[in-house]
Amino acid sequence: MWATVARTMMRKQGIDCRMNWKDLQEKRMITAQHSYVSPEEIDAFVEALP
Amino acid sequence: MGFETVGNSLLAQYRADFPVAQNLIYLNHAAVSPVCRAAAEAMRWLATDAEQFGSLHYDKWMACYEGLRVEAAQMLHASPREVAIVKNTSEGIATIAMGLDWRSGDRIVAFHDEFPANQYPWIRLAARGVTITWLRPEAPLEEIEQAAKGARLLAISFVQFLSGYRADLEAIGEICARHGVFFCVDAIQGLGAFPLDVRKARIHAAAADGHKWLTGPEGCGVLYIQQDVQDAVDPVEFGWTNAAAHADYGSRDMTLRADAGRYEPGTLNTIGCFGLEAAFKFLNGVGVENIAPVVQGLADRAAAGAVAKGYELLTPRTPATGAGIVSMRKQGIDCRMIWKDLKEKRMITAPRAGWLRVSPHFYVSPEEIDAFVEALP
Repeated sequence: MWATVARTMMRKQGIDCRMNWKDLQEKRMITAQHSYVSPEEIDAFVEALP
Repeated sequence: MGFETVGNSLLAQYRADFPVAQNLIYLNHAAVSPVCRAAAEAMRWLATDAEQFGSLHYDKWMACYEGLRVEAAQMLHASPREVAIVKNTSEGIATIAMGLDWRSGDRIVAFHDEFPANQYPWIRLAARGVTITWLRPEAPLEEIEQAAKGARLLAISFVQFLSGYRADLEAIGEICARHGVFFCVDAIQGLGAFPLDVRKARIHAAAADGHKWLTGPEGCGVLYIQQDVQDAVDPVEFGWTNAAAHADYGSRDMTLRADAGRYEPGTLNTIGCFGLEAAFKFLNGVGVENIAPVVQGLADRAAAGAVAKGYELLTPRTPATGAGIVSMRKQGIDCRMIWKDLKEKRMITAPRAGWLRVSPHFYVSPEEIDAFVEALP
């Protein structure tokens, strides 16, 4: 089966997305997800968002 | 520049950097070189990094692109700002051929017997009214000067792919400078084996892929383009990274990069860049000026051995015009049969246009050349 790529663009008022991205990277989360990413990892990502 | 035959003094020091030597007598660097150990290790690192960490270490990838420019510039005696990363020699030459503002009636000086990569892009300019004066690569300088008068561009290979004739680039560059001719060099059959100083030779553009004398991978090469002529060569292959603001994905400012990066239209061949950067670094460490007399000596040895066995050489060899390529044939024997027989004996050469072509690099031993000569029918 061909993998599908999902991309969601998001931002939060008052927070620079580059700070978001850097903070997530330090938590070993690289943004932009592919089909091999588990739903639990997505939940962890959402949890880590400020 | 002449290189007299000398013994292979580099052998003990660098033989282990070419594991291929454990398997084969490899005399085919004018076709596809084995990658040196450093290049293989660099590419393995990148493959593992991309597998295990995706793009997490992208900063290291970016540093590699810059490192490749720095190492290539060092070998060419150029500035890193004059080095574009291309996918091969053809792309580099085509960048020049398509990018100049040609006018009907312009004339080019080109050479017979060149590899097609250094002929086709020029021939196609006929559609724009450009004509070509054809010369032999071995033409005397007086003949080249005569042809260069009034020409717009001269295109020649550093070393001819079949005959192995090495051009006197400094003398030709002097001629081009005297007559205001754009000097374009296909450097693939010489770069990495023989010194090339683009400043001394007054070269405007030179291109080389990594997979021959640079002992790097296929599909990644460099285009040197002199800073002063960059505004005269329009980047016709255009994508997002030709622009100076390419790192800002929201920008739509198409102002060109201020350096040779303006000829790079998109994402680069990163694993190839890792291999080629490592190969350049390795050869810069050895010193091309040290490699040249060894390559010259090994090719001289192969030529002399073949002649002693009754072979004819395509081109006579001299210290000033010899390089790492020797093409030979023997009356009554099909070179493809010799090539096949040698291959079965684990000696790698190439059949080309009715000639058997051998092209040893500096890690090959004189004894291996002797074994090759011994194996010739």
